[in-house]
Amino acid sequence: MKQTERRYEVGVSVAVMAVFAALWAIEFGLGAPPEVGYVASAVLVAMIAMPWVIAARLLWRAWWARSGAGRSTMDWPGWLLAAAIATLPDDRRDWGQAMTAELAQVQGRASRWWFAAGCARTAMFPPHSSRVPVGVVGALTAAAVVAAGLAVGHALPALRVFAVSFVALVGAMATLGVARSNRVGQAAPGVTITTAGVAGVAACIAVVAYLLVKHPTAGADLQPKGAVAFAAVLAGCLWLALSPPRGLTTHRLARRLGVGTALTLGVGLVLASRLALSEDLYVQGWLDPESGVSPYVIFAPVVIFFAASAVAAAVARSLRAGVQAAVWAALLGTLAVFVIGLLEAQHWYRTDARLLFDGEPGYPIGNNLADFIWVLVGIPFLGLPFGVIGAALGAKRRRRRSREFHDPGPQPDGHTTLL
Amino acid sequence: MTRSRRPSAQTTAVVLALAQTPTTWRYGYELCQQLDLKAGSVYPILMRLTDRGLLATSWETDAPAGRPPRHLYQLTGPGRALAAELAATAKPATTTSPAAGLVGLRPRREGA
Repeated sequence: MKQTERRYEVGVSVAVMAVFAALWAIEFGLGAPPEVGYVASAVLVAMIAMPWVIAARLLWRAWWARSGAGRSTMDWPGWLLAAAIATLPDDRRDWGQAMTAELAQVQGRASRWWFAAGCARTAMFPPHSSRVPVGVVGALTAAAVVAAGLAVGHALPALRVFAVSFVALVGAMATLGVARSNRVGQAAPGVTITTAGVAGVAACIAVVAYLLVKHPTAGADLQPKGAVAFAAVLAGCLWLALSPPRGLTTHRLARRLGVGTALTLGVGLVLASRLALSEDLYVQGWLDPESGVSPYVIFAPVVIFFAASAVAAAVARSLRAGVQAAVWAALLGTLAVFVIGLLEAQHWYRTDARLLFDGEPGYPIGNNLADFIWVLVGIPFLGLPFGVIGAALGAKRRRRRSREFHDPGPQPDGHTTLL
Repeated sequence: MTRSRRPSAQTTAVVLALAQTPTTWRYGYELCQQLDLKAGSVYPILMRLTDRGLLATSWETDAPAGRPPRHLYQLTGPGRALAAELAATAKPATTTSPAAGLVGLRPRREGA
């Protein structure tokens, strides 16, 4: 059993490394050669991948200890079906059990594959009692895409690609949600997260629109690739805020810590920005006009997500609570940094005509937009694995303390006492 | 519970198969084998029929140790009424034998 577990764990590590290797190959194989050279860039990517490898292994170990070990005898059709039924909406969960139980009766490799594949398809796209709502939502989406394209294209042409992509993605998610479940909005993350998430997404769009209205030339820096990435990230944030997976909604403490972490990250960015511009208080090489706020944006999420997740996991005695805190912190913190960053960028531009992220002088203000769209992706990318590592350490430490409390072991005088 | 349109050939086949032994609880895989349909066709049909109150479901109570209990299906009163209606409609097109009627309604095999 231990050997099987280790084999799968190595497989998880290899899979994560393969994803990063593929990203490296796509970036530098198809694009321009790296400025630092192929070897140095590969080493850099490997260093960035390492926290993800560790986080993936920790999550895998936790999952294996909870339910994976019982599945070690599963064949590939069994895994396929298990993965598919994990996506079933709440009102169809019993059908997942039904299909799993039935697969146990199917003999022969080919028959098992066919049966599992058919059930997996059903689990991924369960039938709806009525197709009318799906059609209505789909039609509304199509109409909204056209309307957004026309209206935004007329009022703010630079934002048209974003508007069309965003409305199309949100509409597609809504259509899929209605198609997959008879009941909509079952797994709500709570009023605070929902409100903060929706408000954050709206604020991101508003601040970009404001920037484009105030500085029309900034539109040249919102390239179609960046606009689509921006739309995809915001649509993902909206989905998490409105209808997250069940596994993310079980700990209230995690949600509170997520909100607190996001506030800390946002306030910290304002402080970092103002400190960097102040002549007396800036820290050379870390927070100064030449460095911009990039040291803060890169390192603060790592530290803050790690700490928040460790606290959540330790207090709730649960790795899952820590991971949830990291996810909510990443969701809301990213939105907060984007909005505050673009507002602060205008202050920097007025003060010193520099870009906020890296302090580069002489570039148009629109470059901030491109910088912060990638920050929107970069914060979860950098911070989440450290959140998972913090959660694992918090949960482990709490378990150890708990064991010590209940069983301190034999005392020097031969008695065992409870502290 | 209202039916707005005629069921598909596959749904009809499932309903008639269940109606052959209306008091017996049937398994999903058993229906797949009997009708030569893929699970990807039978389970959505079973879900829809259950949603519409035409099918009663239950869990196996005497499952052997180490095997999960199976899900069982049986037509409800309205389900049997639908089956009778479908059988009456189907008979003139095929033969008088229920089994042959079922074969006559048998849908095309799925490609993949």
